[in-house]
Amino acid sequence: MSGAAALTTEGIVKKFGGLVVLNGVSVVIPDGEIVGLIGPNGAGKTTFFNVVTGFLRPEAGEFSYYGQNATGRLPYQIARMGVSRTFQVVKPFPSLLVREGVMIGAYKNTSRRKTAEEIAAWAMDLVGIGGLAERRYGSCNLMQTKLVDLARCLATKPKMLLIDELAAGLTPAEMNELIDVLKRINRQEHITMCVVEHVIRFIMNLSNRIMVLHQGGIIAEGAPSEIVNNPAVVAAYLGESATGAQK
Amino acid sequence: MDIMVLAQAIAFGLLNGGVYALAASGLALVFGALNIANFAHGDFIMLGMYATFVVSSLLSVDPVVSILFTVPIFFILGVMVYLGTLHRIMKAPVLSQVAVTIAVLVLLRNVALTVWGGQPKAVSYTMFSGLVDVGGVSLPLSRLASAILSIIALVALELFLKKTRFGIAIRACADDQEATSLMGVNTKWLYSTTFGLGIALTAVAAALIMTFQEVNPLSGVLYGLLAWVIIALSGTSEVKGVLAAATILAIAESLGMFFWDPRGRDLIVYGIFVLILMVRPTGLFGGKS
Amino acid sequence: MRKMRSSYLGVLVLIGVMVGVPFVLGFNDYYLYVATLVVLYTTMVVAWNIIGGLAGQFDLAAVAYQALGGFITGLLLLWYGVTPWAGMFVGAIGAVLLALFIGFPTFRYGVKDVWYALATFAIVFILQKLFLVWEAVGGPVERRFPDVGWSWYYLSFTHFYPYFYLILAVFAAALIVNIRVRYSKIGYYLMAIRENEEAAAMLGVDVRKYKLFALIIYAFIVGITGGIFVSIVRYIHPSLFDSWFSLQTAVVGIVGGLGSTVGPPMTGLILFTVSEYLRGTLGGVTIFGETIFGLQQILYAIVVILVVVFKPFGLGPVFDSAIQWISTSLKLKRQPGTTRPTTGDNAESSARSREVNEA
Repeated sequence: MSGAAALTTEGIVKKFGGLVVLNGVSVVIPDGEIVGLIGPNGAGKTTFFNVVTGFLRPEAGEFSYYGQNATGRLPYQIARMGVSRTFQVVKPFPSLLVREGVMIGAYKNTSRRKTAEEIAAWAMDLVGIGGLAERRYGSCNLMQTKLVDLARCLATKPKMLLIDELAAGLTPAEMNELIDVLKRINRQEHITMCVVEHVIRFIMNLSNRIMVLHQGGIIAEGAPSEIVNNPAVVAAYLGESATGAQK
Repeated sequence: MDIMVLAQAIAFGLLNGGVYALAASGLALVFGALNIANFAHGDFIMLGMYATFVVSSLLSVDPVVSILFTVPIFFILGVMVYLGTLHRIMKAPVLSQVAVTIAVLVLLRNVALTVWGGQPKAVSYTMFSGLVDVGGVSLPLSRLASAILSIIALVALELFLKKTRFGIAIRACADDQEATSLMGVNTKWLYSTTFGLGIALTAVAAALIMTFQEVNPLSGVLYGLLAWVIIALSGTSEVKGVLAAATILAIAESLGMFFWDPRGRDLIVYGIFVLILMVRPTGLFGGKS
Repeated sequence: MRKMRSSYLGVLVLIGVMVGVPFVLGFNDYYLYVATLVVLYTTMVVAWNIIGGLAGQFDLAAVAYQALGGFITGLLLLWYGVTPWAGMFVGAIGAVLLALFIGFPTFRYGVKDVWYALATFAIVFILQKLFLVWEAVGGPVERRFPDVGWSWYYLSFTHFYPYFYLILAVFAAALIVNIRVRYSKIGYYLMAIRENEEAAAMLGVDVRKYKLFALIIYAFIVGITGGIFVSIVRYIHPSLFDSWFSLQTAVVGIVGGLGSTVGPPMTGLILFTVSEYLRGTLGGVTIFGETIFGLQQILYAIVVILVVVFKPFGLGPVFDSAIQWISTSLKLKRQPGTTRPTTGDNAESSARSREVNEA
């Protein structure tokens, strides 16, 4: 990829009524990195994701992917720019086959079923769930469903992946496995990642860099080891009651 | 245009607004807090009207008095309907929930048809009979009384939602269902009682309506539509928004009936509905969708 | 794909069997009339499956599209002598335009699904009133078609079996369209939309565009059935806009199984046959614009509630399992693919396998 950063945001302001949730957020996520976004509850992480994926319009500010301005675009248009985002599948149809679910993502770059099947197979192998292809959603456990979601996003052949609280509900062993999978994908396919997460341990082990969002602004940025010791970060988390921290 | 006729039309609309708002409030509660699209809402009102008729005739009392009996019964009915049907499919696709409420609609309508037949029924006695002259405009006492009682009921509802623990829990649920359940609120209990409350409200509205209307098995169609249009127009399930929207709708309906064609009542309501959808789907007071 | 081929095979078998129905019924016109209606209603359900079952949009305007298609067909016949064979296609296009009229504003981002259901429900009543009041095209008096005896041009027959075969052909076409859509890119995108619109958008799906696609296909098919229906009853009248049939279509579509290719048609055929049988035995009352059958409807409603509560995703999976069981018994297929976990599942996850709840 050229030198353009995967995601650049400048001065994103987002208000809900009188409440200012994002107060001029400017970040740069370089191409090829895994950047984590953490912050106490209510800091605005999900809002940030919603803005940069086009689900919310910011009151001010701009953002662009790989040098192309994406402000004001609809979600599916942003997806077509090479961005994908994981969603927790809340009510999957139990009888749908895993393979078919992944194919939905694969169809982004083709209209032919055969090609979609091949891409889906590739994505599932990449994530490591090739054997689940013929299973039904209903018979997949939590970890498997998340891996399927991941595969589905990958089937769209994104350049950048926004990962939205994927670790919720997983055991430590499963989290480690997920970290390995994500790191491998990042290395092998050169997919930039921005990860929003509550589970601190997960994000510390996964990310190259971490940004801390608090009260609508980025209060710290750096390597995981630096962030952990940053007094401002510690204060932000302790200032909140002990919710929001990891299990 | 005769100014008195205009005043008459507007006054009529204002009165209806209160009753319509009450009729819609149960649905606003259920839809706003529980996200349940109860298509059978109008037919619960219809059933409430029949229940009022029965109690009123049996005990020879004014329909308003029958509220004492019908409200508890309808509350229990609502809870039972919820627990028996909706509760088990809250995690199912929304379409299934809608299908169930439609089946309930069909059930209620045909039970009414079977039990009471197709001929309209009316309460034979109400203490609110006659006309009242207010500044040259003559208003039926029944509608005036219903409007006043509706407002009282709505105020009570508002206080309940804002001041009691239960009410606050319901509103929290409307804001964020997941968080509410995480905070240890027993959602099954909360949902079923909220639904019960929504149905109980229909009984109140129904009783008031019976002071000036008759009922037939198809009455639910109109009131159901009215309730939904009011919610669409309001955009929010807050009592104030519902009242405002209901009043606007009622005045529009009244003006249409006075100056255009009384039979065009339905079309006016539908027309407003379509207009809302085209122009401002989030409603007058709705924020984010 | 194996599943698709076996679906086509299933359609072939079903239609083949149904071709024999008139013979079984001894060409009795009354029974054939009922049978024709049953297939017609089922065709509507199969079409509805595309917008409701696959795309997950609760459409309650089926009868509006049908009646509009019928009205256009009828008026073209009455005014200009246009053959219903052509008229039904014009009617279908009219139905599509109506569908777009409703779909465009309601499929905008941010408009909740329930408003689409209500708008489509309202449109039936609006159109009924409209056609009642608009004397030029409607009015309270029935407009009867001329009695021309047996005429291919006027789609008029003195016995019922041609109508039956005609609707059977449309039914077959609807089934095939259903299968083709289900296993194509459109089908997958519609299912993604049904499951989670936001997630679908982030996979690159233009949600609104695809919902409109589904709507167009569905409205067109239903519009065609309208043209056939008026050719059977040989009149047009605002009472054709009867909301009960919209409800019926949607509810059977759901009970049949959202998105399933087998469930809706089989459920439709069974339920409608039973329903027509009950109607004959339990009787009914007609109030203008709404046909209410009293006891029969109560029974119907209870059955629907029970099915939806116990099988919220419909009977589709039930039929699918039944068919799988039949084919494995007949050794037509290998064992159904619940593969043992190989790669990608570590021992811990499989040991802790917990079902994603259906309800």
